[in-house]
Amino acid sequence: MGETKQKVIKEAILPKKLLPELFEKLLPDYDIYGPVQKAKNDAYDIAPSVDKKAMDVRKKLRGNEFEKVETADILNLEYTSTVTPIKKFFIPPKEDIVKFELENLKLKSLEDLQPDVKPFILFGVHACDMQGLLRLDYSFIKGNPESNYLSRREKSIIVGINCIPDEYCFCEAVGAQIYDEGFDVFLTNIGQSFHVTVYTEKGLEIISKVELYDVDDTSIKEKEKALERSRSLEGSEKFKPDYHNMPLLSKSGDDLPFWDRIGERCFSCGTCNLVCPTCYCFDVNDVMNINIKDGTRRRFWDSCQLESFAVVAGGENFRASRTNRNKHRFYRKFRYLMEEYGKPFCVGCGRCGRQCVADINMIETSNLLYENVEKI
Amino acid sequence: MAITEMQYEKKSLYLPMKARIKKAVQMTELEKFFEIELEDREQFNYDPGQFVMVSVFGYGEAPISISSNPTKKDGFELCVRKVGKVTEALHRLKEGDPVGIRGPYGKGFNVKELRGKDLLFIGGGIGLVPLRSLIKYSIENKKDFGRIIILYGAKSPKELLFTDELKEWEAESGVDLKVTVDRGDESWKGNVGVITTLIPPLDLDIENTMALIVGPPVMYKFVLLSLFAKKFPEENIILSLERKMKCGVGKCGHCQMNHIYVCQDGPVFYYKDIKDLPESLH
Repeated sequence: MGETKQKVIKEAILPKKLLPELFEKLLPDYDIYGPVQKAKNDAYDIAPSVDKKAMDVRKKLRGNEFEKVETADILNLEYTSTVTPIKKFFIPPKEDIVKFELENLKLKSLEDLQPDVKPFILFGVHACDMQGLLRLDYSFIKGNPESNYLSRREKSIIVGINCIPDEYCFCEAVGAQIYDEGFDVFLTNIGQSFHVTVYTEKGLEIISKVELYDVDDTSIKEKEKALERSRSLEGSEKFKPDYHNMPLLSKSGDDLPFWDRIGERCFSCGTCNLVCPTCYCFDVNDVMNINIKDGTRRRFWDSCQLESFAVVAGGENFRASRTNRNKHRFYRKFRYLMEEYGKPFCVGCGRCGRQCVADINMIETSNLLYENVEKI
Repeated sequence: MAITEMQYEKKSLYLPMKARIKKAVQMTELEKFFEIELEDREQFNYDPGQFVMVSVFGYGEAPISISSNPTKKDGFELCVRKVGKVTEALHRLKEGDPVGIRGPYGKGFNVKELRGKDLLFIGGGIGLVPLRSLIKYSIENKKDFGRIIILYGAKSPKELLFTDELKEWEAESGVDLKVTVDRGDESWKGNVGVITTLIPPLDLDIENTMALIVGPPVMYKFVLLSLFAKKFPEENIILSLERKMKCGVGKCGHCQMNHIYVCQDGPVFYYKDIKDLPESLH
């Protein structure tokens, strides 16, 4: 998986001034979600950090978030990253999966709450997030295909866009800066217009709602220059190991003491899991309504960094130390799932590093692993 | 394949089947026995060692090992320790009360691979519950197996499970049964000591014996050491592991043991397949 190049159906130019018209024409048939700059105050910049530089990064980012939009005007398409990834449109943070009705506290009826969503467009998705979504596809199809996920996924149309990387971005270093996989349409910002690459019929249908112009040599050159500027070089160059070697490195370095130094810094808050585009573990709980007659079985995003994650009812904790929980998350990205899928489950979006209150990040951990294994 | 061309069943993996408690018997202070019958499905096929997700609506869902003989087709049996929110709620239920069932899930004991072998069952505490499914099956199909030896340990005589059946297995089925308790009481005349004390005196045809071990996490290490002291081959050891589970279908992530989802590849494992995993036994 992961190497298939998609066939280009059409290349064209879309003037930016046509975006409002495009959205107007699409909105009757589709829900549209895109990046919106949310915060006008610092509270949205999440938890304070021990590191001033990290605080500054968050302030600069100012909480972009994928939100439902009714007009193209409020989009912030020139963005670095969103706080939460697009997984929320496929596995919502809270999702009622089964409804039950009780009579005298005994089951009366049971209903499967299968999602029934309108076709929707995610407008302005970066390469890392697209790669993250492809990895979720793998996990939710594998073994037992999950209809809750798939019934949303099949209704989705993904319009990609080139990005503005910062020093936390390292998609290129983990092989995730890919523009021709998964997208229905990909837009490259070339100033007054977007260069448009169409990969699917669905993509062609939505983007052809407005008049597109032909590409010429200049626009193709502009596109190439823009994509070059979007390379996540700053962070990617910091990432020392060759990602192909990560499973092997993590096996060789499993017992090294640097893991404990990372574990000691971790607060087990679980933020890294919440903001990760490929973390999908969940908890399930029954939620009763106040009438004590009906309720729902609800799933929630969960975190393998929380102390209780692997505790059984009898009290035994199968991953009691923070070091081991940190390692587990790292191995999920660079070993366990990578060995199955062929590519890392870390897509280099940099979110966990940007948001971590202890400034633990994948670049540093990967480098520590690499350097310490080299020393063996 | 494009995601839009996927064929999949548009039905939740997490929707329980409606079921009813046919019989409920308090066994010990903490353990209760349940016979469950599904409402809409007459047959329920499962392997010994598999588990179901049991729902008490309003409280939640918990993974519980099936305890009955898989040849029992009109329902199945569970023996549940009251230890968490869902199991406490389950204990309050009576005959006729509704529950939800999903499953059966996981990989159980591979009966075909056990044929012709001597079977050494080692159950600690509630570990007897999943073993009982295979014990009953092997007694019923005794000609397919060699000797059947059962070692069973509990903390005290009051906590012994299925005591009537234990007597029956020993008296009528030619099972070699050895029971021990950590602490006896005035009426107890049997063995006193942890379960590993039963292992050294055993006379085993070790090459042709399969050991089937289920117990609390702490038990495995000491039982394994005792078996290895007898030069018991590690490839003849099978065990069943407990983990937290929220889905049973390989998604929620709670049961992971390194790269393995216990709900998919287990809970029953060959010891040789998991012994090198740091998160398997400790």
